[in-house]
Amino acid sequence: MAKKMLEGLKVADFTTVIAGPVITKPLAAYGATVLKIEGRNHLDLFRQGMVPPVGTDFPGPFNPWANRNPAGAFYNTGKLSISLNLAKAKGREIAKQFIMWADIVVENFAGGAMKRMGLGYEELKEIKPDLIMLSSCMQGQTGPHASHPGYGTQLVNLAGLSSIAGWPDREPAGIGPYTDYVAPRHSLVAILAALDYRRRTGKGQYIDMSQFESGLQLMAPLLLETATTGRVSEREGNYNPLAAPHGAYPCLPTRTDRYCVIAIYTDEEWKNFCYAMGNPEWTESPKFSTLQARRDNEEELDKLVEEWTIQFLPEDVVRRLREAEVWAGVLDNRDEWLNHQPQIKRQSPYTAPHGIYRCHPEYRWCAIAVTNDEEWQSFCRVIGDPAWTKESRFSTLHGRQENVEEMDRLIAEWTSSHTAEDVMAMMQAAGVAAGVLQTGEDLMEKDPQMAHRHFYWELQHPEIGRYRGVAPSFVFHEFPYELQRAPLMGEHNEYALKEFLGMSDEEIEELIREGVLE
Amino acid sequence: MTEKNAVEGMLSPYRALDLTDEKGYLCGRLLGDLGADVLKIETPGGDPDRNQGPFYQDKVDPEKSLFWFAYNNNKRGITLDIEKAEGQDILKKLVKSADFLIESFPPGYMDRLGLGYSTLGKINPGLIMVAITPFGQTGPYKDFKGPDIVVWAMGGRMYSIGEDDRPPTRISHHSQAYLQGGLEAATGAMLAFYHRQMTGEGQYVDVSIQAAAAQQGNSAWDSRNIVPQRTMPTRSRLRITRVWQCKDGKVSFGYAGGRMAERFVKPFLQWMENEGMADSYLTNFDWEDFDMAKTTQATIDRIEEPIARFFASFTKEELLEGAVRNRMMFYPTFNTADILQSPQLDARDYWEEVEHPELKTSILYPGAFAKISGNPVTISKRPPLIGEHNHEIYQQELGLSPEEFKKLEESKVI
Repeated sequence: MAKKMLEGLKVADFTTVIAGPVITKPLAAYGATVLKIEGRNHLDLFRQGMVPPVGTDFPGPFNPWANRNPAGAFYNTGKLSISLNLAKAKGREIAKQFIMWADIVVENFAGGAMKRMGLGYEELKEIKPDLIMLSSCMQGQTGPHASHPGYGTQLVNLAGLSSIAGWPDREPAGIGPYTDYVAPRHSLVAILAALDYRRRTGKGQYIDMSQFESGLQLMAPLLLETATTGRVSEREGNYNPLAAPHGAYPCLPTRTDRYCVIAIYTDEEWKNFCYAMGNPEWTESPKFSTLQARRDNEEELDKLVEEWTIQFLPEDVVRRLREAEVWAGVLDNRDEWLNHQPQIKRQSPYTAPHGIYRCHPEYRWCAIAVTNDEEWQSFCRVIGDPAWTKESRFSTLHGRQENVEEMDRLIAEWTSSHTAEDVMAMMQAAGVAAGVLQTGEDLMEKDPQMAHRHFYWELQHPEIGRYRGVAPSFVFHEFPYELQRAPLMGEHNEYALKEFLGMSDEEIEELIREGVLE
Repeated sequence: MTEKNAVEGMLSPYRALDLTDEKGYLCGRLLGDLGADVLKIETPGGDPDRNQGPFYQDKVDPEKSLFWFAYNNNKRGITLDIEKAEGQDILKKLVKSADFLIESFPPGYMDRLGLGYSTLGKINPGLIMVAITPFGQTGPYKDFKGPDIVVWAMGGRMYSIGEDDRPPTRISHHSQAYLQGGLEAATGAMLAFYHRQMTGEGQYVDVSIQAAAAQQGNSAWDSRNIVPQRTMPTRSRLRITRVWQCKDGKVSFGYAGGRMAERFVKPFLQWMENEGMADSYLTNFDWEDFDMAKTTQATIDRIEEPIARFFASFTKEELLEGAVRNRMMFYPTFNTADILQSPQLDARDYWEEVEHPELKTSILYPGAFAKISGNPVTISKRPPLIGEHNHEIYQQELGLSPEEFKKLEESKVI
């Protein structure tokens, strides 16, 4: 068998919980030696049971509980473990020796903690100039919030991700520790680049990973939007935002199929639009002063806009509006435009239907996203071309968007009489995007695609028993990875001290006596 | 903008060809951030995803898409029609000197054009070819359509997000699943690259966005056969507040009894006291013994009343500073406007002012994904205009004559 891809690469891993261990997990899967340096003084949350059984003490390292948290076993597959008391000078000294041994050091204490233990980068660099070290914490190693501890489940609030998750009329939805899966990927990419840089130049690197700043990368388009327009985008459930006014409005000559198309997203555009119309009195009404208000009063608004557009040729309306920097276009075929509006696609996918639909039985769901008219036709065929799909209010994209709640109700009438699997299969076979809203059970026991990719690995753990780890989301055509179970706490004390540091039995005995190994 | 061109990136000797759409922009962006020379290869006329908003000054224009800007910094841009034979020849020439090629076409598309790994890997045995698709290159779902909402649904991430009287919900706006896929692709690319640097061997990296979304695992099912329910229950026995109103917005804060109280409630009560807002009911409450499963709504209401009053008397910024000062683990629910005001980000010099001469302005961008000591990540190239570097690449580098260049333009190859 060929050598493993990362054979020979050595990692001193001081990390805990999720955002740290996820960085080094793929390295272990591809053959690197990852030594998890843990201990009573920085007990991984996942070495603890969040709710220990009644009558147990707070779980210490040799308490069997330390090895029984399935999350800990999940996030640390393929690693070795040494349990070292970092509160003791000798413990920190040995940690330093492992740092000397390693190619890479990774830690995710609250900002500044390594420094306080005498294991800060500046100090370590003196004795190991080519050290590659990554520190990952909530808000970075510097600045007024540097030492603030926390978890990803909370950080998503600070990073703005919560504000865009959930329904517009409800509170932000909890989205779990989302940033915990963002920062580790950024971290690993930086570490691997640093390895190559060191290979070429002999220089080490310190990588200061703020999980906050890393998470903001996924908010970048909306941050740019606020930075340039001042507008703040909020959560939209499973829908996409509408503009208002937004649509095709009839023009002169009357009784012909000539329209102008208007789409107004911002309050500034609204002001310009009012100006172009000569600021009629009705535009002053609070009923139309904000996008939300305009959407709430859309029917009345459309009628008033129509009263204005109907006085002109579409070309004239468009000229006026464009002069006022409002998006507008001439339309000769209303339906064609309503079904194909790529120019005003504001968010992707700007579509309807687009949502999660209840299936049979009632706790099962299927996602459906129809992105163009062709798919809409296919969708209608799959659900048996019911009469409502022919109604004018649903036959165009614009109509479906305007009547989205009613449409979703009608779609759910159909989906709720089918299983989610059937809905997905029928839709995808017809070229319509759809997917079962999968649970852990679906993914682990049923999903044939995941099985095909050998995503879940069945592992045998001495204390947990059978459990499953996950592979990286990429596969290489040639080099397989191999998932192995997570270590017990301190399982490799002797192995690591002897093999990596060359210690003798006597020295190890002494460390045990002194409580350095715990 | 300060002069940043002097900074050498860690990957500066290497080149990546980026043929992706929105499913893969972030992968090339990260390599570019680290200094690689990333060539964004667009179809003549520009990437279709340049039509995604939001737009600069809300002007719908492929050269003004803020979505496109956000993930195509630190790249150069050329146009090339790889469906035409001449375009394929040019791509093969570019592959000769490239280290990475990233694509996100449907499975089999590159093979059908004669540009699969079996061909390109022969032209350049050291090439790392990264393919990003919703479900992977092989397997029963490989040809399934996978927009964001579908991939989230199938990745297992969505089932427990949202409120129980409505369908589960995704994170709004641009596709988060695709960004996760892009991040994973960059990781896979760099692992393969590390190996190549050791052995000289290239690699084909097959990324599944569904698998990227499923990375969080399913311990609850695996160990206890439990399917976690939605995070925002509205039909449970008790109404428990998780998001609180403060002076100018919302703050997310959870409380609990037992051991958790020591960590999450006690410092909070101390803080209330320091602010002169202590409440004797809360102070004397037996937190050790408090169990959500056994308590009553009346108790919850009594607990929450003073907490709500406390939050309502502060702004988001004050609460954040208080949380930091008191080492409390909670945060206000920031929106993008709040984030732009963050003193922590200011102190770390996070934002980057990037010149956009074509718009006669500069735009404030989120800065580096990490602070790297020796070779800081900066935005040294603003996102390219459509075909901005055609001349540079085709004439100066590949040595096409002006006539040949013109011919390619006329036949719409570039």
